[in-house]
Amino acid sequence: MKKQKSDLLDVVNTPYKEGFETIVDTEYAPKGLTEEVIRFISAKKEEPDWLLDFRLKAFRHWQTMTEPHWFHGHYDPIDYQNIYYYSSPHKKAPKSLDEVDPEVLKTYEKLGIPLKEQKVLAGVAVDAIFDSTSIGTTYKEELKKRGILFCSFNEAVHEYPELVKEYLGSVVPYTDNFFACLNSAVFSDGSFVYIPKGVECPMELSSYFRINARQAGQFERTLIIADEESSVSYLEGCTAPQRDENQLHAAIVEIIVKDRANVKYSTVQNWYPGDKNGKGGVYNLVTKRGLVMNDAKLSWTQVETGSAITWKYPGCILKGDNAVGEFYSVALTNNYQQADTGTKMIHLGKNTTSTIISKGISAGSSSNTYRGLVKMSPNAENAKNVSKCDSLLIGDKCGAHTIPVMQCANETATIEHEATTSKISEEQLFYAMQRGLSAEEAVGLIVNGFCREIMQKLPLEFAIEAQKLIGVQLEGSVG
Amino acid sequence: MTALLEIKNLHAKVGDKEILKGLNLTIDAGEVCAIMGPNGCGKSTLSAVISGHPAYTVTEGEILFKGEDLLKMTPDERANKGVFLAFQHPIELPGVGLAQFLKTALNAKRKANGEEPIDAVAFMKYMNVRATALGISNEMLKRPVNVGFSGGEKKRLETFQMAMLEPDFCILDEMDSGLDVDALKIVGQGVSVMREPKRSFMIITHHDDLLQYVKPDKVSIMRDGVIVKTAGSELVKEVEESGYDNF
Amino acid sequence: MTISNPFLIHTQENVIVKNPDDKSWVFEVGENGNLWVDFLQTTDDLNVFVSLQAEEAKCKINCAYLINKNNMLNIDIKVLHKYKNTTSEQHIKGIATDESSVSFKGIVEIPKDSQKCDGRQHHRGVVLSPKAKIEAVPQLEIWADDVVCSHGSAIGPLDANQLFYLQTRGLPEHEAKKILLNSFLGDLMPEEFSDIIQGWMDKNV
Repeated sequence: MKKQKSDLLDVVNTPYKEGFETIVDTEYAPKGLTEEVIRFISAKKEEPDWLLDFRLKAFRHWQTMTEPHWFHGHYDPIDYQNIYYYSSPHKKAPKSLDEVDPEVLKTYEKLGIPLKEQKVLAGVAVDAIFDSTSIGTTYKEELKKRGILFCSFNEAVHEYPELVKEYLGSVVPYTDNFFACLNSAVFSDGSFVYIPKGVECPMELSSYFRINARQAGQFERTLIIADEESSVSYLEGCTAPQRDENQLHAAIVEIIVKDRANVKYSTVQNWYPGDKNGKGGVYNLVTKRGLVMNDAKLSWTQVETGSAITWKYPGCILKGDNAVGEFYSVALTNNYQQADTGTKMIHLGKNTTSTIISKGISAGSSSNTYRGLVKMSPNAENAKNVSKCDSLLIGDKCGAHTIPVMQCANETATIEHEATTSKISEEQLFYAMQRGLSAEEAVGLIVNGFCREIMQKLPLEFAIEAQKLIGVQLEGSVG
Repeated sequence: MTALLEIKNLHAKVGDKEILKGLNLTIDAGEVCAIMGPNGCGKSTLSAVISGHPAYTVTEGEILFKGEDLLKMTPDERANKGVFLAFQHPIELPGVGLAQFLKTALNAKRKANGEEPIDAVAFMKYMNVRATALGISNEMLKRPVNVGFSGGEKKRLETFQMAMLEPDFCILDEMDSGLDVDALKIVGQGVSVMREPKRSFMIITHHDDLLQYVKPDKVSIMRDGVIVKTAGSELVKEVEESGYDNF
Repeated sequence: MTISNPFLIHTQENVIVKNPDDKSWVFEVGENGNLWVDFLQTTDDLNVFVSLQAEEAKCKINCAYLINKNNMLNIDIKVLHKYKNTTSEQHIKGIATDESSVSFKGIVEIPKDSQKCDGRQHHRGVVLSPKAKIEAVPQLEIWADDVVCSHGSAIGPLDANQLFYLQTRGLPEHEAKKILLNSFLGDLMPEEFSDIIQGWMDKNV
């Protein structure tokens, strides 16, 4: 009996399987952040002047800003001058996979993301980003035949400058927040997607991010434009090597969903969470937002299991009438991880609707916060929001917090929010163990059950991966 | 016959309250033993202690199962040794599909026995045969464990889980409480079908409803934490006629 | 306290009450203590802090707000479950009309070691005119695992079906609204406040 209890109390620690390092010849920008570094990055990428101007404007603005600290938790101040803002395994962007360092290709194979054409994942096109550079995009040509543009951000800057110029910063302006501003100054690479009018993307598109280099930040930028009546499902996966020092990841995702278009964006975030004493791990400080036009829909699904610090609020600006926003989230924290995550639903148009379902699981000495904003503007006639946030606590050293902000300035709009906090009951655990499951299996199964309605929103292969991740992340939380 | 379960001088408490006060009981392989007693005599505590519920502390005595010390084992180790408890109040596991749950449980048992996990197709066959026999629909198999089922359905599902896991020792804790005649019949037959020479049953009840379908080999009367009398199935009639006051 | 912002303490067992100013209240509820208090705010801000200091302490805080013109109201209610086995309930309901705005902030905090606590909080707001605003921030701050906590908050118009039902019975819209709003607050507020509520409704609905 006592054994079962202590089982529950010390659940969370298997080694992070993606924690290996790849030894490659890496090129860095000089350490620290100055105007020269920004010019260096821009020059490396052979960028046009308008983009350099955008970066410099952002940098100057950033210098006037201070790091925000409303985050529910604590982290040591970030020394922005002690970070490499550009690191790349190649002197020049590779033109094809043949130019990519074989070690890097091996890295992706080890991660289960083969990039060589004969082995690529069936039905999923991948843009693989290694530190600051996109190293390859699969299925690119096939997609192009349908008018779908899927490439690295840097390539888009050169190939489709008009599109990039028009939409860059249109949803997340560089003035938006401290980390978005930093990203706007130093962003390295990322993915670019354009789905033309009326086209339904025939396969899942995905980005796979990997931080490898030491003391390097990753600042990618993703821009997705879904033209009228188009649809696409997009996946994002992330890992990083195990390191004692913290790594900074400050990304931006901007999505434009035009009239009657439909975008689904799924994330399985598994950055290195730090060790069981809270040493190391990625600071994941991300701004994700979509602009949703008439009768269009944007759906965010996220499974957050990694990172020492997670600070992100994928949001929807429901600008058009009848626009729909969705946010489905599982955030699991263990050991000394801290997550402060949620969503922003800004209802501007009439009859706009949003749904929020958030499941937070805290174990070890971690802290897990749901923070959300639902805003009904004066013009949001008959707009509706429904939110449901549930927290599950495993062990008595962790914390669960719920901070929803609801603002209603329209007399016909409705906001409904519900939240609960509970633990896995001893009775549930006993019942499952009476059927022969070990304490660990029982906890994994019950936690996955708790998250089931979110897992069902993920594309199938991702859902299986995410379920396993939850099991792995919980190991050790019941010894 | 050899003893499957031997309980010697068992004392157990919940919190500071002693509930089992020196209980002795032996159940042989293949035997069906009914434990009868008034409310509050400790019947359910006995089932909880045998299966290892964390809320109960054993202060004295021992329980041997197949000759091994059961009290040293965690609840899952006991389950994988062959102890099955059909709960009086089955616990809800939201979001955990019944089929997935049983597959995990079955594989845990196979692993404990050094066997390979069962493959998906074989599992479906294995499950469907047993589900059909107990009138469990496909739709019920997909639903989360015990969530949204009626009392009768839950008891049927407990019987079904028992059939799936093929335990050597089945404890039925007040299986007949709150069941209508039809449900009682299904559960009773489900249990009868499972009777075999190496499988034993401990049927905890306070009246004779279920015992009409599953005739016990012996009946033990429990009062105030101890077994006060053990005899053949004729004891059931005696209890029905004159209650527990005579014991 | 002013006549337009009344309060009523129904139950006060083993409670230390501090009332540093008109708008602020501190309640310290001791062992086996019990607090039940109702507030009605029509013009003044309200700041309530309840500390459940010892085992089996309980509290129930009810608050209604009725706000009109271009008034602004802040309502902050915090319940701290300082000790294990404590129970709290908060019910907040209100109406904003004209160009008024309300900001309600409610916190249930359960620190580490305060096991077996039960904290609940419910808010429901009705925005009655195009320029009125309601903001609600109900927070749960939980650091203990063996607890039961929930909060719910809803902001929206009156139920259209109920309104329609009353109108089919011959009631003009504003009468129908008044009836619904009265019953909306009636189950929360005591008889003693009904004149104030009625008076407010007559003037503002």
